[in-house]
Amino acid sequence: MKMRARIGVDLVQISKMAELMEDEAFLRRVFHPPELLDRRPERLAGVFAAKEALFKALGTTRLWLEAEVGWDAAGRPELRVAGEAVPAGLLSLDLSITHEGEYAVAAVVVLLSEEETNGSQNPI
Amino acid sequence: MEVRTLSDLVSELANLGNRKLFINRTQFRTYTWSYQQVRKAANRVAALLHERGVTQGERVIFWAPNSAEWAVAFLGCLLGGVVPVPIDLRFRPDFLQEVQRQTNARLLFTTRLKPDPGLGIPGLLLEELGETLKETRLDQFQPPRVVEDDLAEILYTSGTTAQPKGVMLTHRNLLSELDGMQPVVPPEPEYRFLSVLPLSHIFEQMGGLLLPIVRGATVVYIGPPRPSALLQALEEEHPNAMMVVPRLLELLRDRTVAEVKGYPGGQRIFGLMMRLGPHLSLQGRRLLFSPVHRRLGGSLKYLVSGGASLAPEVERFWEALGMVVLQGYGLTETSSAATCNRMGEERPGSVGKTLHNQEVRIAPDGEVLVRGPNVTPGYYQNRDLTKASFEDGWFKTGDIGQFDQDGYLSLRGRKKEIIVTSAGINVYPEDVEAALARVPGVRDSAAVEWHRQVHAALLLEEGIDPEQVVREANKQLDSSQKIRGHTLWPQPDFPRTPTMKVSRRLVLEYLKESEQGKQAAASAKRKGEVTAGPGEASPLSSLVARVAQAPTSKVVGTAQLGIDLEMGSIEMLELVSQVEQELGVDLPEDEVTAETTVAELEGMVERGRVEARRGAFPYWALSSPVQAVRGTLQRTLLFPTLGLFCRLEVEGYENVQGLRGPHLLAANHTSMLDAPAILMALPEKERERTTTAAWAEYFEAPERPRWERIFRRLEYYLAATLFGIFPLPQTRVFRPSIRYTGSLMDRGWNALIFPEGARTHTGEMGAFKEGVGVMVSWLKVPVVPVRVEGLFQVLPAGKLLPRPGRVTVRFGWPLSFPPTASYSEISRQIEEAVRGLQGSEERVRRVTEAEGRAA
Repeated sequence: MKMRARIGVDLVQISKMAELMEDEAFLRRVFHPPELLDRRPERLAGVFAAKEALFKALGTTRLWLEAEVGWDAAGRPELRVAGEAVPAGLLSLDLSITHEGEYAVAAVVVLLSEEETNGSQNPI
Repeated sequence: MEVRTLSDLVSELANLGNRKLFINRTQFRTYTWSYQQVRKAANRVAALLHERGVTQGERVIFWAPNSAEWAVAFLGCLLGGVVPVPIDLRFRPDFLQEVQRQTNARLLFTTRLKPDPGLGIPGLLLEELGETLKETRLDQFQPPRVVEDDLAEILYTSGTTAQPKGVMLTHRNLLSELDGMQPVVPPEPEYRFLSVLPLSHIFEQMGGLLLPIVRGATVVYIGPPRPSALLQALEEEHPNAMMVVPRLLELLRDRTVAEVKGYPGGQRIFGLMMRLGPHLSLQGRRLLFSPVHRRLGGSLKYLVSGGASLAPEVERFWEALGMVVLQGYGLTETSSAATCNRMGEERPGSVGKTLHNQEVRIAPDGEVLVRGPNVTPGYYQNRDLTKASFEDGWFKTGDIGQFDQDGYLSLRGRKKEIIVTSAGINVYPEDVEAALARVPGVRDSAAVEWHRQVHAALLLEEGIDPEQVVREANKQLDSSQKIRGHTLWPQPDFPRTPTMKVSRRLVLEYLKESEQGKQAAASAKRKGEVTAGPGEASPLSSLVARVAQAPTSKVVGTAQLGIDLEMGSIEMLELVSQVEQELGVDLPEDEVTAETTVAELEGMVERGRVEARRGAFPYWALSSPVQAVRGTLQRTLLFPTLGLFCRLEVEGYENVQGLRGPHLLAANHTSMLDAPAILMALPEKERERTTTAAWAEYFEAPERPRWERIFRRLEYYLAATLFGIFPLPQTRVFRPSIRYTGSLMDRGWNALIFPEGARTHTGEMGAFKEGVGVMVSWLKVPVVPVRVEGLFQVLPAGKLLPRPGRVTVRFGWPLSFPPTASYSEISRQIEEAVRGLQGSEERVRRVTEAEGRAA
């Protein structure tokens, strides 16, 4: 099977997220309730960056609530996609998030099966 | 019982029983609290504090936006003799840390909207107060005895960041202030206050919370005070009184004038009306300007202005329109007002007469002095400052003023150089100058109050960009302190005092003179011009400029958001959210991309406005006449017809009978007859309060031929009458629908929804859309799963004639979800519950019981 990997990264200014935290309407557009359990700005900035990195990797429109970031028991972040955000031929997804000082960074790798993506509307 | 303390006042709340005290508006739901409920909740707060080991006289910090919960927690503290220390939400964590160092508070009432300020004490989220109070034990709690001279609260509204000063106010102070205000409050049979100013300030606490309570009034809270939330609350709650700061009156005036200009000839007619207004009675003026009043809810009459001095022309504008603008004068130290204008006796430009139980006099140097039971005993743990602020028992306000022969006070300026912004916030020039001093390239600076904003005069080193300097300095200042204007000082040095300090007074005089010079030059120039000044920016383009942090000159029609304005994803989302909150238009966020131009965005907002007007929700279908018609038609026509070919069996009836409070009914979708069959299966009481969500796009369908559009419109009216349907869009712009559903639930209605989104074509149940999870999570309501079987055989999609058959409607056990549940999890659980209702009766019983145990 022919496979293809796509990568996306994103950088978010933590202070920007801290400012937006007061905008509940904004938060509801982007985050799922479990993602809002821990509202430290660096955490939210990381989740935002993860979603943006995913959309960059996929090259699709940004459907924020169709991607959800969670953490497994070992503290490793996981990315789930649903609905229209699921690309054709999706094999696996991996995510890594970090933050330091003013910025949070996330990188996403998407593994797609190339046969199935041929002719699909996704530009992948 | 005689009310001698605020604790007594809270105890007495129950006397007003079921009268509404608070209306708490949130994004999707509105909750009401009666006097009785507030009394009970306040008691629980007092018990909770006791349970957490906070004893009488100990401090608790408040740092959260206004809400019914804020007020309840505050009243609970007063009842329990615990001392609230409310802090303005705009202040920064370092300010809070300093307050904590001084007060040694035991607990923090805070909000999800703010990061942890790092005080090292336990915090309680006010958003979760209801849940927290449910777990509070009441059995061993007895409120302590509180006496008049006990400390009621400490207010840190002023003071530099380095040295905050806490004004102590006792129960006697606050109660005597209430007593002094009583005769000033005009008689009204019923007061409804809209609360928009922060409760962390004495002005809103006194005028917007304690005084309404004494008057048996209702107070409306709107969450974070954003323009669309404010306007919506005005239109929907019809308040008649509001505490305001001059800035808000100016904003509302500008908005009114802008709307008038939108009509052809509007400006001229409005100008004529404004001239006519002052010659009419109050009622006459309100009639003349009734379109303006309608936009403000129709009932708004009393605007009580405080915090900063109100420009006489703004006061005259609102008076001419038929508003009663009451302006008073006071400080936190005097428990708010010391003087106030009375209705019918107000004099523009004056702050009114002394309240009956206070004394105000003018010192030989012109300073206003106040004495009375409302005056603070002093500053918390700051004896030197307290001593310096009093002279022979009189509090020295620092303001310069004079009385006229009739006893009206006018203010002439301030002794101290505090900047009071038009939002009513005190800013210390030292704080602003200290922030500027930390920016490289700044030689010296002077912060002054100029046009009631913070203005900085700058002495910079060669080649330094003043805009950049101000941006850098503003990063260190909190939002209320930010520098809004600046002047590059044209001389080598500032004017200085004999001790070589910068003379802010002379700096200000220079600014005034140079502005007069400029105005003269400008008016000379205007004489030669025909056209007006530069075109005003539209509300949307100024919004875009603000979010993109770009100059308005760059926000032109062809500018692309991501490319020309350099907006990232986060800014674009922020923009969509701001458009929703300030312009009241819900944009589909995935259509606002980096390539979207400002002109396209204008188009989207305009279309959104048109759609919002056209797609008005069918509130009429819920009116009692229509409801009566619906009931009759259902009983005499719909159900008997349905009964001709359906043998209906109902199971799980007990799960819906007597169910209290609004809820959603979520059903599988097999046929167009699902809704009638489910309605028929419901107990009559429940049926009368149930509306049905219908596919909005079906009824709108702008792409269809004209005759079909008309036909579908008729179908819509018929369905709204027969089933009380309302449109629920399948596209992503569903916030207005959820808001509408929320408003139905606030009125005690239930809603029937079909989360598959479409009828089944195979008879098999499809997957539930995640939208149902979003809806349940945002509306915070329980869900009754409903399973319809047999109707697919009777009338499947695509068929027109029904075949007789047996139909079963099964109701499951109501499901509730915690606020932290994910949307997908909620949808999945509802879907499973509906699936689980399939099959034999035995299975139904098992599933409902298992769910009952889980709940």
